[in-house]
Amino acid sequence: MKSSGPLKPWLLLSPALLFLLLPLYGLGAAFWNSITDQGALSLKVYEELFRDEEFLSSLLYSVWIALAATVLSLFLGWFLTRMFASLLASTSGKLAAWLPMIFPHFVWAYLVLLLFREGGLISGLIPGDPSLAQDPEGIGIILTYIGKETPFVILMLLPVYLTRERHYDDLVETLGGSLFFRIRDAEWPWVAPVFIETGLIIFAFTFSAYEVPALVGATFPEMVSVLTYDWFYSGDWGERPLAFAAMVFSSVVISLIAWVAFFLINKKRRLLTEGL
Amino acid sequence: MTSFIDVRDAEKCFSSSEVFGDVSFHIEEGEIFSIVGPSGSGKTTLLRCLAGLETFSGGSVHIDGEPVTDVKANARPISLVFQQPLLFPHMTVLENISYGLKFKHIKKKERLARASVFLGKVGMEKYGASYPHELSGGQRQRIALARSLVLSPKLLLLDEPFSSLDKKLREEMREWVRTLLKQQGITAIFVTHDQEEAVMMGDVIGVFKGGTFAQIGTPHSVYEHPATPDVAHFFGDNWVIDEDRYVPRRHLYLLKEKRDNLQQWPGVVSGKRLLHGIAFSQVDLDGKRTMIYDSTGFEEGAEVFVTMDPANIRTFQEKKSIG
Amino acid sequence: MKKISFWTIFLCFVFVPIGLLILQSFTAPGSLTEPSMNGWTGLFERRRLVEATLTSLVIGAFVVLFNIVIGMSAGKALALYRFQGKDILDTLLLMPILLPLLAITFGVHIAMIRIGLADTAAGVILIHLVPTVPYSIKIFRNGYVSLGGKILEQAEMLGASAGRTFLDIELPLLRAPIQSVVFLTFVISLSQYVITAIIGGGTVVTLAMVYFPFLESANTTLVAAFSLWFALLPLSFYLFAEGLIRLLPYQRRRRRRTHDLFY
Repeated sequence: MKSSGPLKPWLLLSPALLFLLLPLYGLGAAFWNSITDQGALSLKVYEELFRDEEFLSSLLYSVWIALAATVLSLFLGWFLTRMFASLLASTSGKLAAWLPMIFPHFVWAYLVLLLFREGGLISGLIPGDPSLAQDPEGIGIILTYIGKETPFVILMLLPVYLTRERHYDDLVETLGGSLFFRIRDAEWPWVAPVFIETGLIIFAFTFSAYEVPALVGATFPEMVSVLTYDWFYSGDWGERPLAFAAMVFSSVVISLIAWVAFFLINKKRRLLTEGL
Repeated sequence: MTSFIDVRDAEKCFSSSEVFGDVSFHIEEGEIFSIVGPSGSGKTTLLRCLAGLETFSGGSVHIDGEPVTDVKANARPISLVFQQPLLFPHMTVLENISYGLKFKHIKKKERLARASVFLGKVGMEKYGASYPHELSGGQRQRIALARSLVLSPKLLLLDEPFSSLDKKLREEMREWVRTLLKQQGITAIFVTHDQEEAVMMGDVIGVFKGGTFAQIGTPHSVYEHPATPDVAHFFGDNWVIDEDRYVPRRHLYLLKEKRDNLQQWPGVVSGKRLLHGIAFSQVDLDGKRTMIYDSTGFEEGAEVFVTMDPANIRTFQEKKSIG
Repeated sequence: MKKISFWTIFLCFVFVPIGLLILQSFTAPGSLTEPSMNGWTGLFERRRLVEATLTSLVIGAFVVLFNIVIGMSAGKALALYRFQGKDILDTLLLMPILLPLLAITFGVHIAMIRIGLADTAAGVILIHLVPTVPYSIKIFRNGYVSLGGKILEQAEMLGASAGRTFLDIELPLLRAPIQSVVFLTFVISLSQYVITAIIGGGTVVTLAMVYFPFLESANTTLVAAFSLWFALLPLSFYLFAEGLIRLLPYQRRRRRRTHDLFY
């Protein structure tokens, strides 16, 4: 690693820094719009937001759906990667894992709609013909996300499993460790940073994405993103400050979770790099 | 009169700490200069600065009378062979060797012809069309050397080029590389942490310690007349009595009982060794372990006295460079 | 045994759903047995769809290009240099994919109206960078880490300029990460509905803009064909990009790939 020439890395980073202005400005502007009321600083919008029961219930609903989708796809993806790492490394395995990645989220959502809505190809086979899409429980949304995010988890974790030191497995085994200990001591420390980061990306995405809940979500309850979009485009622009405030608050929720997760990752990373 | 390679008062600082300083030496055309020193002494950084990959904080470098300190790495008449062969994996062996000639504005046909000559010189005529991953470690390092030599650099830098090879191969390569460099009349700096390798490769040796040269001289003079206790320790074949005096180890001998008229130190025989059929005792002396020729045949555990003929006690020379 | 279970899982959860789409696109709406080409012919009869495909391709190509420029340079800096503030930068560069895209887009929209980028393809290209660039930087960073800085120094020592090193060493040896970025970025760009709608304001019509209202239609055959069109586009773009990459130096032979897939 080079350490001379302090200017060179910043020169290389300048396009990225220029790019960063875009999201930073966007968030700043959203924040500014949420705390001003007719040109004056005020928290009125937030007071109104937290009195709004529709918002509060959709916030909880969003947290629940994002959490369920994240945890399920993370563990499913992890399990499949562990089981089939060598198969996934082959060309046909790679293609298999990449295939679902080609389709946009909303195409996958349409598939779920086709298969699971009332009278759908699969739900029609289940006794009672339940509607598992556009349902108030959000099962359709969760199913869509599992279908799309599980391959993502696999593709993120696979390099870890393919480059991992196998000796640690043998070490734990010769020391008499069971499968549980092998996973805990010989796998998890290496998997954890990628696992947590991937989980965070999926949670943040599923929590705030618009397309999937707009297609396979119910009309009530709505996820925060759908509600906000409606507010933003409601006829008289009167609800725009509310839309900004809702998004700013969602950012705060995600940031808090991200902050805790990164604190955990960094602690782990330091242990790993210093311990070798 | 100036030398072919002339380095004066070179120094390198990172933020506030000095990596090396007060470094001056010169090399005559066709000479091989070995720099030997423990790891972390700053010798690799010195080499990187000479190559132009890092900048000196001060001092000057002249090659054949021309200052090169401000010349960029890719324009210096210097080539560097790294610890790893670093062959380009997507190019054939011949493409690898001829790669540097591209930048000397030589036609492709001529480039390949010159590369083929050097392929022959490193004894790998048959491998021109092979890819690096098909070669062994030693073969790869040979190609890396050919790739640098084909550019006929005014100065060739070698940074521990054999350290990734196993012991037997390393010994073969040393001899082979030295012969090749001499044949080509290449001026070279060879960096190593192995004193044996330094002695074998270099016409002149510089012992690098704590960021500067402790001594520069011919292998024989550095070995026989170390300038400082550090150098004496590093070469290991001297017994350092104090700050000013030392004895070559071959002049030490063991006594069973104390004698009056000699300087002597008590020690314990902690082991026995046979080297080339001659018996040595491993003696613990002042907390340090040293091997001493043993004509008497002491048992392990015996209490002995180590002594020498006063005529063999030498005084450290002042640090100085030859030239 | 392992192989069988792997392909069974793949069959059930990936191949069957996609197979159903393919089947439906060639059969009459609601039926999976009565053959019909109406889906595909109906699709290409719509001028709006052909135009939207072109718009999506152009926008996607620019997004990919910007991603390669930003991703390669930043990835190189992060992988090969040590400098102050790296940790903070790491977090900042992940932020665009962690914080709500809708929040960023709402905020950016105001500025874009002011500087005249709202309702233009350029504005859409810029906003599509937000959900893609962080991935590209990550992929290229890992690529440069496994490449190592030494091999670039080696080229420099042989007399290569920075530009030559880039063409002769970096581009050929970073082929796998470049492929990943081209593909992933294009797919993500193609998938953006809501941010395209906001910034493009209905004037910039990408494929997603046509697809969304389309879903209301009950003609499942047409929608199935349209859905597959979304997968065919990135594949053809990828092949096109591959062709371009091959024109560069030292690309003529396929090398053994490193086993990093997603970097």
